[in-house]
Amino acid sequence: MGVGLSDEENRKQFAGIVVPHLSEAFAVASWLTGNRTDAEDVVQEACLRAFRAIGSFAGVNARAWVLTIVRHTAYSWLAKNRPSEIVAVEDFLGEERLTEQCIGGWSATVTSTPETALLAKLDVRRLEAAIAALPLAFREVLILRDLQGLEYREIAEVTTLPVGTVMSRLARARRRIIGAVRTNDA
Amino acid sequence: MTNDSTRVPDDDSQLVHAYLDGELDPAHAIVVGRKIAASPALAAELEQTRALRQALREHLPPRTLPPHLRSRIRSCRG
Repeated sequence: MGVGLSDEENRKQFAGIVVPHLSEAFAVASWLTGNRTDAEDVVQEACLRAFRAIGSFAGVNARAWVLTIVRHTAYSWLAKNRPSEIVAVEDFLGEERLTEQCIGGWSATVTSTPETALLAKLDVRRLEAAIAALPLAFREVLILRDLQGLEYREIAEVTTLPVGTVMSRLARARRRIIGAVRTNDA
Repeated sequence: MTNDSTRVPDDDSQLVHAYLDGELDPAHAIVVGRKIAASPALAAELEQTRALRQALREHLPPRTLPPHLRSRIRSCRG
């Protein structure tokens, strides 16, 4: 709660710690909520929370700290407005195992697999739709890694997941998108 | 080659992603690199994932912060 800091000091800290990451905060919020209007609400609320908590920033990784708050805020927003999005991840894993059994594992063709060619010419709308269709638990990891470029340990910090779980969810998220491309083109 | 022989353990398959992302220490990366070289299924996953990463980087427009939101936050908070 900014204990011991004057309002002016809080403002200075906010400008130095949070403001440089606003664009990224908005991008993450828009992928988590699914649209720009809701993302604006989430970013505003997250900024309020960050301002109040600015004194608790440990001074190590401002970007991860800001994104952690944005993620928390987005989850609160989703719990209130779209609770069906927040589903236990185990529910998806069983379903996924079945799917993998049905399609017989991964293609063994090394060069220029059909999926690789499809991905190269995939249009924006299909790619966005495939990401939006990912369960939240997988989508957030994919966004933090492949769109925002965070390292695994930073994603682990933001999501409070073990690094191993970050790795497995990222692999699953990417496979789901590749699988969606294959299904759509079949 | 049967379906079963093209299947790879899930752990190895996940490590392909960490390998591609440069997240493995050098010793681990050498081991995984060898496994990829020896497994057409892992090599295919590497190539598909590389293509996906490139598509995400090149095709998706950045979601930029609306200017009015930036100025609203700045004016409120400093």
